[in-house]
Amino acid sequence: MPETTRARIFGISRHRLTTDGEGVTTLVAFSGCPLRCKYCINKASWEVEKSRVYTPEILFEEVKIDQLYFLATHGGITFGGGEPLLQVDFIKAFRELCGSQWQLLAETSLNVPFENVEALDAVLDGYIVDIKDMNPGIYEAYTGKENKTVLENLQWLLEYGDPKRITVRVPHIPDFNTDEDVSRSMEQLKTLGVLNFDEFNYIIR
Amino acid sequence: MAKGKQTCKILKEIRKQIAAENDIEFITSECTHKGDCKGTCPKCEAEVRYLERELEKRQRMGKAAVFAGMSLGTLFAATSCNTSTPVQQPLEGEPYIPDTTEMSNQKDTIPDDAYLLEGDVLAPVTDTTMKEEKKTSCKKDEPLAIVGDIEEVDWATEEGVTEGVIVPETGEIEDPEKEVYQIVEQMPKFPGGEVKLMEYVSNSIQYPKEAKENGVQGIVYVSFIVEPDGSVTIVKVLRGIGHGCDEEALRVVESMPKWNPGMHGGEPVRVSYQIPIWFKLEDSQE
Repeated sequence: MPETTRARIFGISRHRLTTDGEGVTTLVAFSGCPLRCKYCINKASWEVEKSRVYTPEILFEEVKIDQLYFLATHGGITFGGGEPLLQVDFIKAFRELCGSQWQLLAETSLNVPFENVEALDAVLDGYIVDIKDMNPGIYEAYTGKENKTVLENLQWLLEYGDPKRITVRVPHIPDFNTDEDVSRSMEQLKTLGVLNFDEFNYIIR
Repeated sequence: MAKGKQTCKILKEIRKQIAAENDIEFITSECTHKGDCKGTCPKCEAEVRYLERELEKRQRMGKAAVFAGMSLGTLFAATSCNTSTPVQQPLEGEPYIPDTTEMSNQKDTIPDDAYLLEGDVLAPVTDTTMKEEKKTSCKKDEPLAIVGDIEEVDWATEEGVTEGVIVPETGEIEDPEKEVYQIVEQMPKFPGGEVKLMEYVSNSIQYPKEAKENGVQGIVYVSFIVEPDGSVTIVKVLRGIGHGCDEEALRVVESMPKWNPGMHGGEPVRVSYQIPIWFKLEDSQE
């Protein structure tokens, strides 16, 4: 019998209303992320101690409690984290379990191998891409990683599918970028073919 | 609390619309759950399960479920900054009326203003954490949380990684090879129906001392199989809250009387079933 794929999940949040996509969604947050953003909102994703190991079957059993809401509002599951696009086999197996009617979105940095993006594009309905900043220097200073792969993956997604399925989040990051940097990023992204933007601020408390 | 209550109200609107679109008799009452219900209190969950079963009945009769595509924007507009509570008009006949006030032992009515989305909706932050700023006041069509942000990580325990999802199997299976159904022509039924089931759970649950001392509250989701002879087997906690609550939920479900079994093709069959069990401290305040 083949080994069932497993993934570490550190949080499941039900009944999110238009927060992570259309309709009623459940956010499933995977552990593990290649980035180390200074102001990461889910630092728990960096620590495996704060996670549980799930199979796609067990996850499906748990989240299908809201199927009626998903179907009625064109909602579904948003995979976040952490970096969900590191969980290729898990998400593919989950799609087989939940069928085609649930909307499956990924809230991703796209800083993952191209093979992962390509493999999951067939099973995902949309993407919320946290682009950070298009400037490679700013990106690396803020995340600790280069953004070359991000841009390549984004370009591929834009060219090989409907750009409407992608929303790019462009944050104003204090001490890392300026309003001009954000404007520049958005201009570049528009040139690439991005249609949907979510521009927002990080606020220090 | 306000955020959860607004979620509760929107989810209720969705349930009402589903019922209306599918000609399902349905009365929903004001959720009297004290505290941050978020649409997950036993009453709200029971309404969803009721709608699911009604839709299944209709599907078996050849009627497709109708989901006209609800706009959450419209629902936000109807609930976001609205202090009035719509009057529920009972429909004709004798529809199912979920009633779990006894279970939660909360008879207080939440004042209308508890449903307001008040001010800042962002989660508390630490001095090294930044949050995403979207809004600071109540406006229509605003999301209630931050994209991708998990505000409640409720299983990060001191014990560290938990393997699987707490799946201690209990009970004996007569024939494990027999097919387990999810949906059958006639779903299994607790003697006396849903309300009696909730009464039974409510009366049987003993709040674990450890949970009480630590102020632990929440919902334990339990799955089980109703066997052809009505017995309950393979009781599992799908999602627990720890501190003795999972074990208590298992104990109560395992000790349930025999159900009326599910029927398919004129014969009793094994059917998988799930229930939420709510642990709520009576004197808790938001």
